[in-house]
Amino acid sequence: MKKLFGITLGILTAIGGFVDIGDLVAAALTGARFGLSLAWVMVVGVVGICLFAEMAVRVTTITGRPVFDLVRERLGARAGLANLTASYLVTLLTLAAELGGVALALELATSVNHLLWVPIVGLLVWVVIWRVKFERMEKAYGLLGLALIVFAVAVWQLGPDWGALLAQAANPVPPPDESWPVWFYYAIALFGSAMTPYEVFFLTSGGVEEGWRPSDLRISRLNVFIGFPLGGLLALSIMVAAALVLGPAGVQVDHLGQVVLPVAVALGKLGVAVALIGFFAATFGAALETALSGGYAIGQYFGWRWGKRVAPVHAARFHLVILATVLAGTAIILTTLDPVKVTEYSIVLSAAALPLTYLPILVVANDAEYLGRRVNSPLTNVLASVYLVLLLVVSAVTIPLMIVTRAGQ
Amino acid sequence: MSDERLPGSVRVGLRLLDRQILDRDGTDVGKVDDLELDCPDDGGPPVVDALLCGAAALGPRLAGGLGRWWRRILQRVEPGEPEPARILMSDVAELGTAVRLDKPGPEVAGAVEKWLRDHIIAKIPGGRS
Amino acid sequence: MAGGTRRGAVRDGFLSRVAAGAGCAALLLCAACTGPSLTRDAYRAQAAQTATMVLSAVRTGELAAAESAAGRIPGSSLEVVLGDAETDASSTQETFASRQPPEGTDGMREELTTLLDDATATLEDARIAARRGDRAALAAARADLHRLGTRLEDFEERAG
Repeated sequence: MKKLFGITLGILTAIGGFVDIGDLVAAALTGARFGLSLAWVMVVGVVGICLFAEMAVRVTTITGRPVFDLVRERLGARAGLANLTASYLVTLLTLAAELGGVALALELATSVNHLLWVPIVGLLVWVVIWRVKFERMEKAYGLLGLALIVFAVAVWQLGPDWGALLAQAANPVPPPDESWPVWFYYAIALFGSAMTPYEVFFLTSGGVEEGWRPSDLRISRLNVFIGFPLGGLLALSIMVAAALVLGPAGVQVDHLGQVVLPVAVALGKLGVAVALIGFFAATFGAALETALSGGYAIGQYFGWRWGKRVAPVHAARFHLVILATVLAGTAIILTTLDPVKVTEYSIVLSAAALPLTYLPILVVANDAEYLGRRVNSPLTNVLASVYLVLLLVVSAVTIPLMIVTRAGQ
Repeated sequence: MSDERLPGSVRVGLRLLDRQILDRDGTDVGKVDDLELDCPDDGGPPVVDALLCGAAALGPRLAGGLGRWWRRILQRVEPGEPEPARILMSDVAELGTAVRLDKPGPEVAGAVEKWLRDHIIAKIPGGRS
Repeated sequence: MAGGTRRGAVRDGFLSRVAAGAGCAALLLCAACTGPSLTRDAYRAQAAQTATMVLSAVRTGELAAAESAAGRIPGSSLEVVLGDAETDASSTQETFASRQPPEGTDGMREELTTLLDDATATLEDARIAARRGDRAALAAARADLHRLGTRLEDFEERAG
């Protein structure tokens, strides 16, 4: 009974932790603008993150080592440093977006300008990382993030024509008034939001923090294979809600406040309040994860002692990096850049940087020196190769598409 | 090297460089940033004397502009000739997916890092617990 | 660096290419922001896009006001949503005003400018009413936004 409870708790945490500001913005934006014609990307993205997260989890449970630790070993000092730099910058931008998201959620709840919230949010994020135990921190925000189920309830309450929705999803072409390049640009944004690289840095480093052993492999796999798809379903319900309410009204999503409107229509004030709690939990949890991921990536490249399981004074360099990362992320949002725009750029650049993270994972997951008989099965490798080609194509076309479409205008 | 846990010869680029170093208790020490080789007078193959660890060892391995820039920064923050931490091969217990030592690891952090640790991290409430 | 080693020469070539690329990118960016509208078709397309963007702000305002009237959205969220819509409308208005209209487009320009002015002003009214908790004024603004939405849609269809 207790074990079952533990498993359920882990899965629930994975569901609630799946959604972050990138998923919120990308799902609502594409739903309002393209209906469900991009829903297939969500499926491709969730299958991809499950595939690679499973490999990463396997590597970590068997070897007790996190992902970035192995990146340098495989790529060498120089290419590893280039990879680290790119991955760190994308993670920093994502952190800025998450901090902005928390501030926007607080603005919607209090109508106090989000810029006034940003420094407070930055400080809170740092204090939580400094003081709160890892497991408690992860569980709290993951479970609170489940409040986003309110979007699924809203969709059900809106009573859509399910047949028409399925027909829309089964017809993956841009709506009549949109062009193919713009449609593809947002497809990439959606894909980047589902496969954000920090998720695997965090997942595997968190596994080391929690002291995973080979016997934990089964539970970690369950979390990935059940938690992530259900988390994807939350993101999908945000997309459907936007497609039902915002799209037909001609509303394009530029602000977090618009994302919550379908919930207001379906469920009223209480629904909005729950949705705002969900926004706060999802973005705050992701801010913790991205800030930690910055420290994990740098600490693991240099081989430092890292992590929340040791007293800060024994992992001083790791904590200094986190402090600097949180300060930099806060500063980015304080320049008065629009957090929603920062989010859009962060997920598109994440998409461009995907091979940097996932290629080394694939290589190590095939290395018998680490995994023994637990190396990838042939089926996994076939699927992973297809995805690798996809990741490389996405990475190559992202920046040109960004220029051609003027960032999706 | 008579210890049978250590191979007599090893492809350093593949099996040694950039691997994680763990001490006796499994604590992270650093990465194998560089190696100290001893070339025997009789012309035999070079022998790995020691593992070098720390920013001062990593810098020279980053060739080109990046490496120069790295060394210049390092010299600015730590005047004098920064010395990498040396770990003798005789202290190495096992070469596997990580390099394991049979004693506590040396202090790898540089002077600036130590200062920041003692004056910032240790001073913030909760830093020591 | 001139007359230096071969490596220096190669690097110079590379640098100048980078500079040229950056220059092109900068030009493209400028063109995207404030480029003169040379042809009537391009101007028409821009007008249609402007109408789409303002329509989004107007409909956001209308939706939020409707939900507020039905007691389905908290006051704090309503204020923020309306304030954002107002900012969007006014920045779209400014961008469109900075375009140079080609000859023969004055009628279209005048029509859209009026619509943009009305949209910004009405969203402003709605925001003020929301902050004061003035339900009657908010209802009036909502009706105005509804009418504006229809006109913008109509304009969008003719221009696009």
